[in-house]
Amino acid sequence: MALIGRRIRGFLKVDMKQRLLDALKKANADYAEIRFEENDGTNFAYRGKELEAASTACNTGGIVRACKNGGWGTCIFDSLDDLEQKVADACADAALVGKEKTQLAEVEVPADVVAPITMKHDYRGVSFADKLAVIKEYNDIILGQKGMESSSVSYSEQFRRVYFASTRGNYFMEERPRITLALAGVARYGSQVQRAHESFSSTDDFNVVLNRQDTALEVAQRTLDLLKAPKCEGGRYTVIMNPVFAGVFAHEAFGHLSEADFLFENPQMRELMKIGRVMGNPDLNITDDGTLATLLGSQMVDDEGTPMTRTHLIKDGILAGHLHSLETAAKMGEKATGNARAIRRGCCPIVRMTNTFIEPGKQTKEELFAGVDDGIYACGAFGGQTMMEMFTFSAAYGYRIRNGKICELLRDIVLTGNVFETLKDIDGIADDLLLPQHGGGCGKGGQAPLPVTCGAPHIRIRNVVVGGKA
Amino acid sequence: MRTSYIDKMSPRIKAGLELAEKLGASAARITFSHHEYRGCSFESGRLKNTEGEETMGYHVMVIVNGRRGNASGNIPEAMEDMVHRAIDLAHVGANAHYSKFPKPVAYQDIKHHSDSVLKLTRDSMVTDCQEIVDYLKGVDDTLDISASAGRSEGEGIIANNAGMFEVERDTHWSLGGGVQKTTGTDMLFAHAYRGWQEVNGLYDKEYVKQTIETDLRRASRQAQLADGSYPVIIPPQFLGGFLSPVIGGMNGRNVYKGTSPLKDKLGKQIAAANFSIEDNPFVDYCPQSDSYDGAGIPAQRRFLVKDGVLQLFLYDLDTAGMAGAEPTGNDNCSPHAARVLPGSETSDELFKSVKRGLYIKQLLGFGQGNLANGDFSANVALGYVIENGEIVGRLKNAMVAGNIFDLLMGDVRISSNVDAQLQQPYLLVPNVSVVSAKG
Repeated sequence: MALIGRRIRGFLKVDMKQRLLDALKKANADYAEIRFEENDGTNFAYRGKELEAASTACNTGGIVRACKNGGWGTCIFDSLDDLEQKVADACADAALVGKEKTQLAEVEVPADVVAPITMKHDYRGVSFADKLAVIKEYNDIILGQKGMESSSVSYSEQFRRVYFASTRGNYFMEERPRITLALAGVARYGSQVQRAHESFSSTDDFNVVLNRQDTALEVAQRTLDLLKAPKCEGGRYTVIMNPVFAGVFAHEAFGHLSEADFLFENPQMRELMKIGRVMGNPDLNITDDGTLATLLGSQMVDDEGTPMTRTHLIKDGILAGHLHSLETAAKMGEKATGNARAIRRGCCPIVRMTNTFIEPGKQTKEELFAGVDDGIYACGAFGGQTMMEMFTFSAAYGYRIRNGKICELLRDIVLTGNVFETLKDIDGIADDLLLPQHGGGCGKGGQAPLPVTCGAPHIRIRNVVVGGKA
Repeated sequence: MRTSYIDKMSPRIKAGLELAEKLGASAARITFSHHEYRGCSFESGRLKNTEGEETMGYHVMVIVNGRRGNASGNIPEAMEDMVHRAIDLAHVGANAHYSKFPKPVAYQDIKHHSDSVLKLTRDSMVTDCQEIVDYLKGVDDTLDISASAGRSEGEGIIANNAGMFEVERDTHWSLGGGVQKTTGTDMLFAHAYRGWQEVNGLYDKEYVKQTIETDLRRASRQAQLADGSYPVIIPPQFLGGFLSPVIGGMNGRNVYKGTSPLKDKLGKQIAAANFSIEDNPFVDYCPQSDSYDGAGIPAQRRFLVKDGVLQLFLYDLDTAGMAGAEPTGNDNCSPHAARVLPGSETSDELFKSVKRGLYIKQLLGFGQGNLANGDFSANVALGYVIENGEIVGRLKNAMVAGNIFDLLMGDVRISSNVDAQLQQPYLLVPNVSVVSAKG
């Protein structure tokens, strides 16, 4: 953990398994758990010519959650001192709340999961000076292109060591590092300001930040091109999404709806998201899989100690599964899927996606384009938001499609729609699945950015509303 | 507070500053904060969780040979190590554009701590939330209802090696509710929230209940708008977000880096002559109020935009050094509590004046466009069609688009009445483009 060879006082020297399980012994609750974390991270950021940020953070802390008669009490803390009292406080809070029977899914978990990370290229062996030299080169490349106004190049490394024990007797320790590189260019003409960006992230390999000179150049060129590009005109279009954009669509537009904490206590939502509902054409398959090695959303166990799983959300166009915590699984009579995740110490685990993707279809990318006389090719993802059935996404850039050909570059492409209608309007799925490992992450309930993967092949959707001047 | 850490941390902080100087720092600052929180939340119409929280943290910033290093942590015993980390980082760190902090001065006294907040108990907050939930159940028993309340008490220290050593104490409460109404595949989300540092008239269950009930009533009918351009009314609750490109454009660092569209507009007209924004950091018990910024520079009450003319750019100490400007006492080059000054017509009169238009309460994806440029293109998450001055129904599956800077230069109109907490008025802007699925 020592980033600069300096051991931090107060970091743990105790037998954590024993400490946590001992503290839980007197828990007066139907269920109680303690999650404790050590976090250590460093960030560097260039903005324009100058290094603007060089910071490090080192924190410990945790949360006790207790459930009594179906009610929850939580106690958030920094120090392991008086841990027994924190357990008692959470149990007392739970007793105040609970007025029904506690329902939590039974899961088979190994008694102990101890998962220290073995990195392919460990960033902890690289000096600050070397890391800075890497990002400075990218920054210089972006700024070196004629017409660039500014840049933003950042590097971050985060190391989470998570300890967990519950009154069920299970214990885990998992190390969850993350390394991220983000490159962005800014160009300006009068009051017009345009940006382009790319990012890369890895759980176990510092190499992810190396040899990105070509990407830096592409980012700069795209920034300059976007400055000259026309705005996308508003209207209804056939849209082909590239894999990056389609992955964000799968995550935002549909994935969040399958999170059972939005469903389990809402009868109308349960009916709406009933297994067996027709969601799209028979070629549509969407999966969430937290077991795929080293992808950003993968973990050994979730933050309730449940092993992560592969869950078919849509199979052959039919709604096939939901994502669960222990509570939502029990209350919906389904299996726990290992999707209860917390972003940091002091946060309750809530139902989250892991690595979510549209599975590849049978058509080629070229076949998708051949079917479009006039449309939009939306590429990259600037962002996405959903209010359950309603979604909106911005493409990082895109092109007009005419007679099956990719034509002029467009800027400011923002799509919106109703997921139940839009999924049915997907009429082409290519065979070129991509699972990009980008920076950023998912936000929900104030917990952001959670590491996730959003993947897909190229997909084609009819009749999509695109914002802009009509 | 159950336990105050001020006495325990003060000598550690002083020792940390001395260590930083000994290790070569020309400027050093340590900030410390400690908070306790109690709260409750209702989900799906029933009490789901009560929680307690006690957390602390500190941050060390040093400048060594013209470079900055930052380190933060929450283990008190590790402060000395974190000073060393900050020093080590400063050797390779970001360029600093100042070498010393200014001497502290006498700062304006602003109230942030009120015992009235500490009288809120877990039981009283549960009872208040239950009342909100029960009322909304009575409005519509098919709603998925949430409510939450909480109160916190905090203490902190900001100290630097120029002699600043300020102890801060604050309190805060929050109260809110929300509903989800699901009808087939159609969903409506409505919510209301209040929060302040003193329990006063703003702690108002009726506001939460009535705001949500009004949205439910207005959204019970759907209405359409043909594709085109329409006048749009923005309520106080969304005005701050809507004007974020303007505030971002005043950021001195954005100006210096060339990424602000207002870069060349100082002293020039950037909005209609009836449009002014004031930054007022001196309102007692307002969570955004501050006497000074992180460098110890006094905050000031002043116009940012007056009669449509841009008055100044905002600079923190570092950015001011970079840009050759005077620091304005604004951390991160951002205002403390910027508010649009009220106009001369009531909000009712604004609505009555709209023959056909849109009232936008919430946009989905507003921040995803090229917002720095002022361009937005976003889904109308909660918006209502106005016809002949009356709200006639909810507009769904539609996008609005425009450029905020262009809109502000048009015939904008501002209400004379403001929201009690936000102190922001209603704003009417002309010619916002609307595209809907129905066309």
